[in-house]
Amino acid sequence: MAALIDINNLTIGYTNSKQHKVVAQSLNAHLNEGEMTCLLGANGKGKSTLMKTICGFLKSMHGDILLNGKSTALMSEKELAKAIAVVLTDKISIPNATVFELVAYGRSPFTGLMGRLSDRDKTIVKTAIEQCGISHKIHSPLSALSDGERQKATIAKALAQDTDIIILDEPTAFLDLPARVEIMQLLRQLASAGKSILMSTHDLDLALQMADKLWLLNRDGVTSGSPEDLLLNNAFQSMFRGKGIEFDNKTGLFTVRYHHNQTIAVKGHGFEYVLLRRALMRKGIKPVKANHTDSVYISINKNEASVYKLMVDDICSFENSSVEATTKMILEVIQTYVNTTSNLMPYD
Amino acid sequence: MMHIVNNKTKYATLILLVLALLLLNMILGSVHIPIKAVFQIISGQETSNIIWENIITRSRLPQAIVALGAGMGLGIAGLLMQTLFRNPLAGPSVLGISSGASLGVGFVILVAGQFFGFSFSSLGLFGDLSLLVAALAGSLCILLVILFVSRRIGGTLAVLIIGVMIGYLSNSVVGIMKFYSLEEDVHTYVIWGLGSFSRLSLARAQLFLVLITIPAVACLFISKWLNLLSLGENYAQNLGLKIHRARMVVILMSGVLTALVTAFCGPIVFIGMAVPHMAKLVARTSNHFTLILHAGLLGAATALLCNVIARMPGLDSALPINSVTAFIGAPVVISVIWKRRKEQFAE
Repeated sequence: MAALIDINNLTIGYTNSKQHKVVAQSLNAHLNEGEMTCLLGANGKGKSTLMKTICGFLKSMHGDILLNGKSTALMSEKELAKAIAVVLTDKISIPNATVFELVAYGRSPFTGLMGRLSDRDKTIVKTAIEQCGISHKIHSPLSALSDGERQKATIAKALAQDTDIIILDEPTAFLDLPARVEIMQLLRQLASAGKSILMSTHDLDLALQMADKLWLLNRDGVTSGSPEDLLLNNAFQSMFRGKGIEFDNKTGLFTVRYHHNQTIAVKGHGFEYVLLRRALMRKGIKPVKANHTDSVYISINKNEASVYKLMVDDICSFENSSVEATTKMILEVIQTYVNTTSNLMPYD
Repeated sequence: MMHIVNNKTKYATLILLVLALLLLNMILGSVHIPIKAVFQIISGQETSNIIWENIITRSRLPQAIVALGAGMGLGIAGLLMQTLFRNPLAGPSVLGISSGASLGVGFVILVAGQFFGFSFSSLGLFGDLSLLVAALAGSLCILLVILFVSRRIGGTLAVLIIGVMIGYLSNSVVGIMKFYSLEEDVHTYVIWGLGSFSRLSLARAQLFLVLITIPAVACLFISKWLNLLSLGENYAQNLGLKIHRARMVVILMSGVLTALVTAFCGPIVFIGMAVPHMAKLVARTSNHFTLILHAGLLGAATALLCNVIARMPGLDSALPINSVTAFIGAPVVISVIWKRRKEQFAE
């Protein structure tokens, strides 16, 4: 698979006549054809700066970006316009503009002085709108669109530009979960159809599930690879070390790490156990597997009327089917026993 | 679809509207002249009434031509500024170009006269011409400053702020000049500052119309750039636009239009701010080729309407044109803001 974009020893940042502000340096990465790549990194690590530099909005401070082997610094606006399309976080507010008009502006690099659309241009515009699933809104004004539809219209504009590469700066920010997933699925489809996509995002879970490649941006470089390989090499785990987030090897998801100072013995498993565990972890209590020496434990049985039961010396002293009520009761019990009973905390 | 009226019908209606208003400008006034006589006079036929002929050729026709040209120029100049700055309140005056004209005129009327030991108001025709030149020189100087600044500075917003500040600066300089001037000269300056469509002879009115039409038509050729600029600078650049060049050309075009109008008519307010909104309302598109045509036609119509109102029959003398344009323009701007507010609620 050929690399479309090669980033070689790049330093990015802002310059004016007097000052230089380096945002990130020694960046090396490759964007491959037909892949969806997600750029991840904490705020302020330079995701937007990197994207702006690739698009030619900012000059690179050192090193270069090669596009099919040619440095982007040597390319004219027109050439770049035919190679890379962008979707930015800038809000587009054009009075009167309809979806069709917005998407049609994507054809600008190909139209003449007066910007007249040929029949072929019109077909491309319509196809782009169709691909993004907003054909029913083709003549609606942009102001009448939902945030998700507006984002799709902007993506359709980028599609109409007919470039090999589409770069998107946080396309899923400010959207609700279904809209995010929809946008990611759309991008996924586009990648499968041959587009090379680079997007920055904070949606770690979605990026892990849907991206072909991830670029993890740090001050001193880019770590890139497939999500699975990066997990295998502990790249994420080290990225978030000490930040209150940990990777759950069982679920393959990131979870918030809680500090726990209490434990409670629990007998049972399944969905009911997972939910109780979540509620308890939030309160700083860690459930541990009960064994026969425990005199106080929680028993979970999903087939009984009350799912959760507190057993003290094998006698049920509390029963309820609500996780909230059970958690509350456990907190009370712990508070009463905390200094007197060691049974409650068999393995601390 | 909501708007089935096609563009050809719209243009035809607008052109008819402009022609009707032109005719009204000929007919109405303190002296009523019948339509038939108007046509006779304009087409150059012999007429029995020499007074009517004089009124038409010396007063009403040049006025109407100037109003037509000024309205067209300001409407288009305002549209360019609103698109460049992506701000509904921008107008031709935001770059301080009309203030530059005031500065030039102020310099000639208030300073030069005193310096050479005469009152400017005694100069007559020569004075008229020198005012025109001074206004053009003043506004083009400011335009050059703005262009220089916009080349050096990255952001559009900075250009806007600097333009507004230059406007304030020239006004304060004019204020100082006024303070030290002869009373008659200040009066002459104030009259110039009120703005008027009725200062030009027929020959000069025709010259003005030709001069203003050239940049106005030229604007049609940057409509694609304007479309891209309305997307915002980054998107525009990503679509292959050379931002700096485009911005300079837009400022230059708008500046030349404003400078010409201000030089020939004095500062005319509100038309440049209100007309682009009318154009957007009527044209219902974001395509600047259509918008520029609409802004030109609607600008001409608005200025002609204002001119008729200023000269309403029953009034002894004409009202200052700027009071009338404000009466027409301000409600338009207010209604636009109002509509916007409603749209936000609808979202």
